[in-house]
Amino acid sequence: MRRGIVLTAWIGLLLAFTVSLDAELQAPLAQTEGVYLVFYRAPNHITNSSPQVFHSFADSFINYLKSRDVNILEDPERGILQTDQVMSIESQLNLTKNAGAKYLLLATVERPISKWIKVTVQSYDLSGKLLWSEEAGVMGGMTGKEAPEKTLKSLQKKLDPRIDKPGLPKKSAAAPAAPNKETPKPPPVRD
Amino acid sequence: MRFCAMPSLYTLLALPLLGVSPANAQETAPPAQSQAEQPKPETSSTADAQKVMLKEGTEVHLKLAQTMTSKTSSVGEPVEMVLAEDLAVGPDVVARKGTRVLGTVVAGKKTEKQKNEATELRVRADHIKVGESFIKLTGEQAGLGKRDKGKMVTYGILFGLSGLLASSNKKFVIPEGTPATAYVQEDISLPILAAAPNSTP
Repeated sequence: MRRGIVLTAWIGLLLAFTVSLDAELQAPLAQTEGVYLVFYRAPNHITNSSPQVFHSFADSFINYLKSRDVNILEDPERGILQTDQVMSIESQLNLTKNAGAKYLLLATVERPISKWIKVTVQSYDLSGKLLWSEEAGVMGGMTGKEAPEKTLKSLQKKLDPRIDKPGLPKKSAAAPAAPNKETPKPPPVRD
Repeated sequence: MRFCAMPSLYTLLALPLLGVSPANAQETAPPAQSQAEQPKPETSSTADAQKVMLKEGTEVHLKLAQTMTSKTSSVGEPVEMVLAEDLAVGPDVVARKGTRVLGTVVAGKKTEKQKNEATELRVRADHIKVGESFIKLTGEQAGLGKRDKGKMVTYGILFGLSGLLASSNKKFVIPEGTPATAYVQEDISLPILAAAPNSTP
């Protein structure tokens, strides 16, 4: 009787061990608690402003997030996307998954008639659900020279409370191993 | 006699914990030869058994993962595409549908600053990243147009694009999802991912 119990315990242990090993081997690549950034330049910004304004704003925004220790996961092949091209949320989410991130942060930079600059920041999870959205813009004044800076400050006030929450995870909350850290370089592009 | 039988049963049960199956326990006994002395070809052939050769010239079906316009696309800009279907060698899949494909704009606006839209838009497929390997691609898709009083009067397809170049009064547009065809540039050995579900022999 006693031997039977011991034997059953042994078999149970073995089964549990085998199942856990199997699960470990078959588990899909885990997404890191990080965010993938996309900066999109809207057509009205292309028409009425310059690419420098767009890129300069994007760089300042990235620096702001980095200063708050947000875990930004860059695209292994293209870095942080700053584009004029329309891309569906589905395609952007695919890039997010490729980068190993859990969230997509889409910043749309516009130049509407009434404002020097308008920026809309939207956060999505991997299922494509919009988690939250914030926007800021500047109007008035003789020139729009300081508009990007003022817009960023306005956005900072709105985004600071969202840091370390879904959509803007901090590095400390992220898993230590990033999946795409040692990505091989693409082959040289032919002429 | 009973006491002798039990330890052997425990040993039998403990073997999987050590990564040894009872069936091949004897086969995996440490060899007398050192590793350096063992013939290498056996190891490499085992690794090759799970790989297949994707031949140069193999047709690759892609689709655009972004919308492109003559107003926004400038030369040298990266272009996002995806595999439109599994890439397979016979029944063996080497890259799954939806895998990212990167391309480059080779004809479009000369610079990002240029306000005027381009009169020609051409994209080149560069590579597919599969695991740690890059499948180099060749092939371009292009839309070429001329304008007359604000209307596009002609447009031609130079290569690869399956006749889906859209046009408007204002600009050329190649919408997201537009299919295109590229070709594998050189032979490459790739690991097999899974058997294609609808493969034909």
